[in-house]
Amino acid sequence: METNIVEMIDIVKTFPGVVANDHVNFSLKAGEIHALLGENGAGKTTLMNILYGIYRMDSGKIKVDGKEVQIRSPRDAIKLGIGMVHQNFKLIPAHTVTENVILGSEGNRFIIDVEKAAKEIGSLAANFGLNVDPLAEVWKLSMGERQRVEILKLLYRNVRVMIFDEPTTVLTPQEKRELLLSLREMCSKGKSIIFITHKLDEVFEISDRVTVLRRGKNVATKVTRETSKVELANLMIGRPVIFEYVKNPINPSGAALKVENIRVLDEDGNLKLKDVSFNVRFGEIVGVAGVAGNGQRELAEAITGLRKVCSGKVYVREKDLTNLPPKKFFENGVLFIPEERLGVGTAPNLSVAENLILKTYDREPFSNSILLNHKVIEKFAENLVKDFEILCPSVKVPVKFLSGGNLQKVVLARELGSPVGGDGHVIVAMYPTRGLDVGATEYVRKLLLKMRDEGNAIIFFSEDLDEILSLSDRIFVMFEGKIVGEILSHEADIEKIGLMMAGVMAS
Amino acid sequence: MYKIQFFPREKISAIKSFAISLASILLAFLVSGIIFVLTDVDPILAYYNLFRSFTNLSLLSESVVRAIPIMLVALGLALAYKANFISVGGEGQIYFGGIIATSLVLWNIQNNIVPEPLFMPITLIVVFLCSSIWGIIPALLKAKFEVNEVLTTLMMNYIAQIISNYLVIGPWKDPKGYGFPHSPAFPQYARFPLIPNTTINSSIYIGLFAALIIYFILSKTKFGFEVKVVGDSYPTAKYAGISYTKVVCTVMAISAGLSGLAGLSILGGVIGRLRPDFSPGYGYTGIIVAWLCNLNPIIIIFGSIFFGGLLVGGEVLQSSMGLSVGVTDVFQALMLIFTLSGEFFKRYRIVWRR
Amino acid sequence: MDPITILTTMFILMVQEGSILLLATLGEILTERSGILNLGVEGMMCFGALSSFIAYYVTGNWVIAVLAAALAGASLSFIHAFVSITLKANQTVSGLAITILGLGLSSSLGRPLAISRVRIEPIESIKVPILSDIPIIGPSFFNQNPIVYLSYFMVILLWFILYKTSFGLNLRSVGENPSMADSLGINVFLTRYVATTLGGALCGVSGALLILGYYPSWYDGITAGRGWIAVALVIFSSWNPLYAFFGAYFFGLVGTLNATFQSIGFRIIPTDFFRTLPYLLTIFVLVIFSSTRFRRRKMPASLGKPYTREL
Repeated sequence: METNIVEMIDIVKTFPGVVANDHVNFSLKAGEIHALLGENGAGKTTLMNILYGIYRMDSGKIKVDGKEVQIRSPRDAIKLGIGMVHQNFKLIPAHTVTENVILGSEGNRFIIDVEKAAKEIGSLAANFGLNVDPLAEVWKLSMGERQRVEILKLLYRNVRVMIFDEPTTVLTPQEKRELLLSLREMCSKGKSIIFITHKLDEVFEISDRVTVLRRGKNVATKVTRETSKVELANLMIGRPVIFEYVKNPINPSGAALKVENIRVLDEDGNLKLKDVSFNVRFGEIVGVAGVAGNGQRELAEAITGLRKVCSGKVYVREKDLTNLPPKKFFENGVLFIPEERLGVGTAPNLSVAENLILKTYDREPFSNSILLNHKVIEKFAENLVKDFEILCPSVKVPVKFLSGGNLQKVVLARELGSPVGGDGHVIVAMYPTRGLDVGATEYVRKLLLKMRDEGNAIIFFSEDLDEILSLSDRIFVMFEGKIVGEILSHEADIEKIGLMMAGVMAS
Repeated sequence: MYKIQFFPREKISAIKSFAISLASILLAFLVSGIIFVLTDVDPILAYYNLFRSFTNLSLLSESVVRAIPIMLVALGLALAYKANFISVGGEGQIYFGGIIATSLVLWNIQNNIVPEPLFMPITLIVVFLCSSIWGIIPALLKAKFEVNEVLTTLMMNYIAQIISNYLVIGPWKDPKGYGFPHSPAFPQYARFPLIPNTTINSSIYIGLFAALIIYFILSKTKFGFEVKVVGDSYPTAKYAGISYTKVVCTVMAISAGLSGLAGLSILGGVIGRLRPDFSPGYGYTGIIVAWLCNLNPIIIIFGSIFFGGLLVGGEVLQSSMGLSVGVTDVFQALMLIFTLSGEFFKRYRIVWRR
Repeated sequence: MDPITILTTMFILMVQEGSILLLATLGEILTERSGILNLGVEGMMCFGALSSFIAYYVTGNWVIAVLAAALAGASLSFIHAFVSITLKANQTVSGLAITILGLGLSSSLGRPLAISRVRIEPIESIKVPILSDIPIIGPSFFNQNPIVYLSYFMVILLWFILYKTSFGLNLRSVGENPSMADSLGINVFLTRYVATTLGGALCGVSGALLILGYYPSWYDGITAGRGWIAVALVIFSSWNPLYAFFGAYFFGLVGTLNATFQSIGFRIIPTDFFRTLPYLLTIFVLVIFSSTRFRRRKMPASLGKPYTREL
């Protein structure tokens, strides 16, 4: 158990504006299950993508079985016996399990013996405790079964090192248990496993060792038995941050947004929001912390009319708007800044001006009964561009040519600069500063604070805990479709938040 | 070894864009010319004859007549394509419009209810509305069931043409027609009068009016804005609260309505009765014209006349040089292929590397 | 006329018409399975017909004629492949251009033939021993010219290639999820080029069957829209070569039903109704297959969408 099957030495990888992996050292011992823990953006997926050949590192060394290797593509990785099960499955729903597993594998002759392959896959599955029918068509399978197909793809190619990227996000509790069992099975049969996660429970359930990444650096590698949840949570989050923003004392009043026991299903029929209830008041900022994929998107869409709830109620300004179309939410003062700026928040080929009236084009003064009033629209757009300091050659330019920061400003200008729905808006913002440079980030944060001071209710989702801590008055933490914690910001305890984000309930 | 790479362009100057379009058309001329030479035909003479329709007044007149149904179809399709609804149903909608028109005419011949001066206006409205309904069907199928609209509109083309041909050979056959498969002739009040001193029938006004309407809708109305948003990005439209169903159904209603009017214009303006296969592919020509004219209603007017001219030119080629009308098809197809290819160079820039 | 004779005549016509449709449908299935929509079938069929007519007239050898047709179809589809795959153009419009090009070339190049009314002898039928004695099925399926037998063989060959070989699996994967196939090292572009070109060749051969089997001389518009029917047939047979066999003969049968019912004086509903049946059924089938309950699992998921490799 002492030999290192994989060693990653001094790995550096940068993307424009961010150092994803900062001289990271990571090693995997033969036959162990090694958890890779960290928040979003800590660099875990990047590191593993380098190991699997999807990214090329800027500098560093990788050794497999003690020998230095070059991994330039997933094919190289698989040849070396390294395989990865991604979060988003790469399967062809119309094909059978067998067809998906054997696709692209080296040993294929011209003629495929489907029956022989199916038998092999069947015995492979049985051997490793993966329950799936080799002849079933993938579109009929549950998420857990599809994941098994992904695993079988790797086992069929005789990989020895298996990387799992957040494998339990799409599973039911039952399936999760089955997965962890089969992981142990694989381990006992000689495979070595790297398990990327942000959930502390899982680390303790399954891993032998755990490495914590934070902001691109490896902050610790521990033997799981010898550490504690509290210690790991601390390592994951780091030191508390200095509050940079001066917030005026707040006087929140009235339930601007009230959500009662809502349940939401995703496209595959899985329950993504489980009995969520909360309220947001005028004049306060609620920050929702949590690793992406725990139901944030579904929640944001449910409170803006873009997704139906299968039970529960959504009230805006005391009015029941449950399951009404997005237009109704907008008319009642709900403003939404979505995650995708280009392609949801804006129409890429339409002009800046057209995007600025995207939701208000059918009102006075922009139009009357059937005609658009282009002059008024242009003037309005120019004013807005000035107010929000949007950099663009003219308001007629297609919006896809704008930089990320300016795009976000267009979305903000449209939502916040439109005089709709009376006083006191509910502003829902998803990852509002993601991908923006320092200047734009400052701008957006100051703007949100200003909205709050003017008496609007703001709920924003972010992966940046510093941002949440410094902007919010109240903090919710989301995990697996529930709000697992609600804290006042001045009482915020980084440790507790970290634990909640990682799935450990406050005792 | 050279390596060719291409990268998406961020923007392209209007001059470059025009140059590429021009180059595409010139290449089409060139290749057609080569084919002419290879088949022992004098290319200069061939081109001269092909484009005679633009120099000779009576031929030009005929080109305009051909252009009318093409224009109507292309305008309707331009609207549909702006909403990213790829309908190829123009041909079937022409036939359906023809069916409705003929049924009204025959009914009125028999029952004599509608006063003659009112007949055409009423027919215009009825044909438009009925064709609209025919066109809404694939729109609803797409909006509610996500059914591919290229395939449904294509299927419906066959159905409409079969029904039309059946009717004209069967129940609607002219008893006084010596067994020829055509309907009784449309009476004078059911025909579009000719513009004095020309051979162009007055349905051209419908075409021009339609062009203005489409232009107006797209550039000046709220609905036109919704069409643009839906066509650009469906998720954005949904986010903005625009109803996909409403936009797509309305767009197809107008599009099919116009194509139905094209059918009426052929029967009431040119042929004067229902015949089997009365549309020589105008529905498909309309797709090409709409596309080549960049979905711009004003350019479509001229594009339709150009294609009408090509059709006439083909006939000139046939009568004067013994060539088949298929030659114009070859030329059209080459223009289209090179224009499509040119689009690539507008969207990407090419980089040569050693 | 006794029922056996009626049925036999019907079936003979059905096989004649159906085999033409079958070859074109199989070719288009191959193309669409790789994700490329080629609406140029009508043009390829016509151009293939003309090429094979000329080749047969000159050489008297039907094999060479079939090869000429295949080459004709392949050339047109290669153009479509280049425009659609490498230049990533709108496949619907490109396919239409190919149809017009094919029809136009056939019309113009074939004009001297049409005028002079050159005649050829249809290819001789070959009787399959024993099988051709089965009542009704025998004379219709097993007493045909060699190209018809080729079409039977192509059904099995195509089925085998698509489902039993790794080339076929790769091809289907390219049609379903090209980016995934790409990441597994499959050459998406090459696969699509091969599928489109070979598919076009088959469409050309269907034109050869049309003219060499059943028409003594060339005339303009000989394909009469059969190519478009083949496009519908591809959907109707759910992109599956075995279903295509039944679908093509069903369409062929329906084509004869009209004539047959008329000849026996059937008057209850207009017999032309039968001619709309295949298209109505296709729409019906599309609606069912497109509803999310069936998750659109039959149509190749990337059909019609150009593929760009994400960097």
